[in-house]
Amino acid sequence: MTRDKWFKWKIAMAGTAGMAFLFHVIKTSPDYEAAVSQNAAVPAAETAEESQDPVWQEWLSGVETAQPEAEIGGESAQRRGRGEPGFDTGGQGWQGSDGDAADSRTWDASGDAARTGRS
Amino acid sequence: MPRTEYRTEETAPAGGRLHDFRFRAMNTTVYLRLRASDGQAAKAKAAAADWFRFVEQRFSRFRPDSELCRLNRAEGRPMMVSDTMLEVLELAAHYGRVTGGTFSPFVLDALARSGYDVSYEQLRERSGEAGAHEDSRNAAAAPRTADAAPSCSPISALRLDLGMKAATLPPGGALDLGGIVKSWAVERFADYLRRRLDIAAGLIKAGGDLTTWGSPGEQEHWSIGIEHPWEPDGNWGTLRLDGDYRAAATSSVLGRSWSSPTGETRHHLIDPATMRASRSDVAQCTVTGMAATECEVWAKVICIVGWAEGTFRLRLAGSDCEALAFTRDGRTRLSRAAGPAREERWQEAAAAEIPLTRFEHSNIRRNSP
Repeated sequence: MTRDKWFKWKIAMAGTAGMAFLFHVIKTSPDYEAAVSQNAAVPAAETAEESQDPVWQEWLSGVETAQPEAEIGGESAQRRGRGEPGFDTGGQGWQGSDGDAADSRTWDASGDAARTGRS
Repeated sequence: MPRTEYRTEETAPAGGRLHDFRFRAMNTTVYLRLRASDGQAAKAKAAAADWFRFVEQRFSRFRPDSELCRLNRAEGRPMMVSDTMLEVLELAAHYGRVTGGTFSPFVLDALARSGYDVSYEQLRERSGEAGAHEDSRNAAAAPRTADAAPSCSPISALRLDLGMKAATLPPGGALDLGGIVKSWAVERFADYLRRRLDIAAGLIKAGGDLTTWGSPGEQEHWSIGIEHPWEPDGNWGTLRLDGDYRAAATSSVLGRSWSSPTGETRHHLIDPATMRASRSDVAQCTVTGMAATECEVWAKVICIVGWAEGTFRLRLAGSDCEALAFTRDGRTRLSRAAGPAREERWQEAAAAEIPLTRFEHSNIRRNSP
């Protein structure tokens, strides 16, 4: 009986030590550090303000309700959103360049993207 | 197009490199130019599609299931509305008061009467217009039709209960919020990208309404081209956006215009005083200021009531916005309210770059009433 209890204690201690080691590994990893610093960069006051913005709440809660597994604003949200958009036939055809934009000074005046007119 | 030092991470300035996106939403093209990291840009791209879809579902007058259509069907009776709808209604009511009623959301019936009862793309198909520009130059001079128009409900008739989050429309006062929703959506989404995704700088444009924040590169400012009303492929010049002038909006009687079954040319800027397409001396107006919504409202007001009256009301309201208008006699006007930096802000292109065709101006004059 006493030996059985001692064996259980040993299992518990080994498990606790294993968990402690796992937490230590995670906490010292660069990914964890990056995540902590990213969260710390958001001022607390601003976060509170954002969470109280009713428009954002309505928008983002709609996304979460529609696709609970999707990252908010993620690619999956775009694909499996609230049904077909009623904008134009063909829905939202994306065009553009990722990190490949022309110089702003030349793009500004000549590119159609940065012209204002005829609204 | 020239490539830049922003192409590689090694030379990217702080805040990331420039990303361009564009997509169709709300019957117009939405453009985003963001200075952001690749991760931020990917999130912004997906969020943009979702945000504008959300806005469309709330405010489209062409979707029977939209909140706006439900509200219009409840005219005369109070209806609980979303916080999103309430915010836009408050904004519309505010600008209705500030502009003395010239900006009014109660123009849906007038738009429908003039034939704009389907989306603009469908309208163009129905009216058989392929290239609307040639015909639409005469839009400002559209003659009045014989049938009587209903009167516009005053903005005070819109009753908002902020505590109950309820809105009551006057009987016969159906809303069209298209005159403010695009700029509001642009403004709100810019706020989201800046505060939530921590994107350092960006430009968002939907149709003629745009807003900016930050700077596109080290020690640079945003600068946009202003479409020339008589030369659609050319720019009148550029508008510098910085300081207290970070947003801009353009309204025009030349853009969304169509032909009636009788061949009469009509456009979408309804004068609440007559409930008909406006017939002022302004063909196109660009307004710059701090808020895209304010710019859009004043650009519309100046187009509707004309240059003299519109800029008078702008000053009367104490607005710091600046306006540039193209009048139907071919002249270009810049508002007097502009500050000392006005000349730096509005840069007219050299004459050689913008071919101003006198013949076209003559055409406009001939067609004026």
